[in-house]
Amino acid sequence: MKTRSGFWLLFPAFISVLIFAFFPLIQIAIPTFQTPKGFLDLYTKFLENTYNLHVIGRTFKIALITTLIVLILGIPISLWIARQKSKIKSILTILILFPMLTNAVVRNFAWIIILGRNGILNKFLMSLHLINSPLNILYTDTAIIIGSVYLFLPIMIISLVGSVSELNIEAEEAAAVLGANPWINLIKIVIPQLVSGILTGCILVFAGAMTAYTTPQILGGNKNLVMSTLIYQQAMTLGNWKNASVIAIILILISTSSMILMRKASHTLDRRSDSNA
Amino acid sequence: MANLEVKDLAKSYNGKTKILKDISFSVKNGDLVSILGPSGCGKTTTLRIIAGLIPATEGKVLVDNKDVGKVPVYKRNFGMVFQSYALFPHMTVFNNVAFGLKMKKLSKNDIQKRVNKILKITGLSELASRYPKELSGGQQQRVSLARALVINPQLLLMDEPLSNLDAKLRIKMRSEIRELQQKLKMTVLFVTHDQRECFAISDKVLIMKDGRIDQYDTPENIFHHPSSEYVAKFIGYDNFINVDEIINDHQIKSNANIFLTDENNVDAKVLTIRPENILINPQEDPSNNLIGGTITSLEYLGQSFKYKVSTSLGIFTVEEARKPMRSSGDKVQLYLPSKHLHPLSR
Repeated sequence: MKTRSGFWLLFPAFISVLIFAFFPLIQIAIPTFQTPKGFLDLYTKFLENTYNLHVIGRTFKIALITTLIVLILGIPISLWIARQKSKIKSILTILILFPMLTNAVVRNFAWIIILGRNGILNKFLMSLHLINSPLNILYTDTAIIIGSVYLFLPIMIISLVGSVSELNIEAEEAAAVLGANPWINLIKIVIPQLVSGILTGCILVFAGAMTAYTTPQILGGNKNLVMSTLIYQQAMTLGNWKNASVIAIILILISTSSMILMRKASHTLDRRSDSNA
Repeated sequence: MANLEVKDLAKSYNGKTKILKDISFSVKNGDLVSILGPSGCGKTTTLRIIAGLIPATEGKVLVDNKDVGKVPVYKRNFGMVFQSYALFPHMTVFNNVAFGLKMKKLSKNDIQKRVNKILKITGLSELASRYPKELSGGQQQRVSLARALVINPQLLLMDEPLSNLDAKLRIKMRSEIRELQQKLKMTVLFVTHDQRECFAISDKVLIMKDGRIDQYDTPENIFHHPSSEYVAKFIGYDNFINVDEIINDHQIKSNANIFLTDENNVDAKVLTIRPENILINPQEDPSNNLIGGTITSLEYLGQSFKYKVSTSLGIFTVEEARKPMRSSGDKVQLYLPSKHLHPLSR
């Protein structure tokens, strides 16, 4: 009975996911397999091209580095926010969320002004005589990573603050009394207890960075393509919708399998979650 | 194990209200000393300053005559048991207990031996591979005790370790703690708000009020000679007589004939008398220290009866073993023997 009523309650949601997410996906996927030269022909052709492999590698690298940087920055920031008085805490949370209210295009243009050849960063570094000629940061992978970190840091912080607020401060004090200095305390006591928040944050950031379009388009320029900009190029510039679909499917496969891997890894790190699941 | 000495400790936040003032006491090697007081009296703050978790505003903490004020918490080698137990949720019982030894960088073999030994003493051997959330409250409490003991701390600090347990378990655990403390000859500082708990197991009791020490003595001395009305109330005295003036050398100015002995006639503002020391309708009629009253409520205590008697000097609580039980509304004469009237400072 219970499962029955559950099914009917979920039915509308099930139908809308089917119509709005699953069918379009199938529609994209099916034509990619319908080629005269065999089932996987378009895929093998795409993956044989070294330039395409390069784009996949770059996309993966950018997403991974972004996730790591966001994680390393996010943990101390969320620890700091979670331990403020509630009034200051809500102000800080609003400040963190504030950039997310602006359009992504606008935010990325801000980085053009900062990172450009005659941008704020280069002018500043040159005025300090740290560099003699301006650095080429804009339209490189570094620029995409900087833009993505800025874009995704709030998401990581929001995912972590929940886990951090649940920490028992007395456990850290107990570890300190037992001889753990602050650094060991962070590594051995605090971070292991944040695994679920870290996992959520990493999945959101990784999937977001993997599939982001605006940031690599604006900060990466035309030469530094990632998978999403490559899809756009194939579909809109070259009109090759089938190829665009192939890349889209590969992108989905990579990001989904990365998420499954992350889940697995976090389960081995945090054996408690076995009994939760 | 070590001697502990606390000198002129004071604590204030933002330089404003002082939450601790003039805290000075010492704990002898191998003694169990309780800090007793209601919540908010500063007892936990005192403990946390000694542990090194928060800095003192003034004063010193000496362990074996060495000032530990500048020693960070993780180098003090104390054991601490927290009210919430504060177990590490992501570690097994074994790893929780082993944590302190790992911090000391002992060999795996030594860690294994010492953890197994303390798990045996605390009766946790079977649970070594469980996680904290799979344990009952009493078991968690024992893990946190084992974790504090395994490092052979110089000093064991306990912050209301029994307050989250049910009444039965609390009594069992407190005698286990006392037994273990005497077996291992530990110096223990035990914070509690439960008077029975601390009188049962302490060598000395330190009673705190509003951030000050009110009385520091053996449980027996505190019980028989409470220093103030506050202490007396806290340890279960119920009857207080205000003394406005002494007349005729030994008599309290009131509408009853209450006289003091030479001994307790010491210019006190308040007198107290234990419920079992008041006699109802005494056999031989004493000429004075009698006061008339009416029984307003009664309670059956098993061995005896407890009456509330309303008199012109206020309500008195009286315990009497005599049967049958008296009934509410009875007019009675209360005899307050002079020698049982304890003078108190306010």
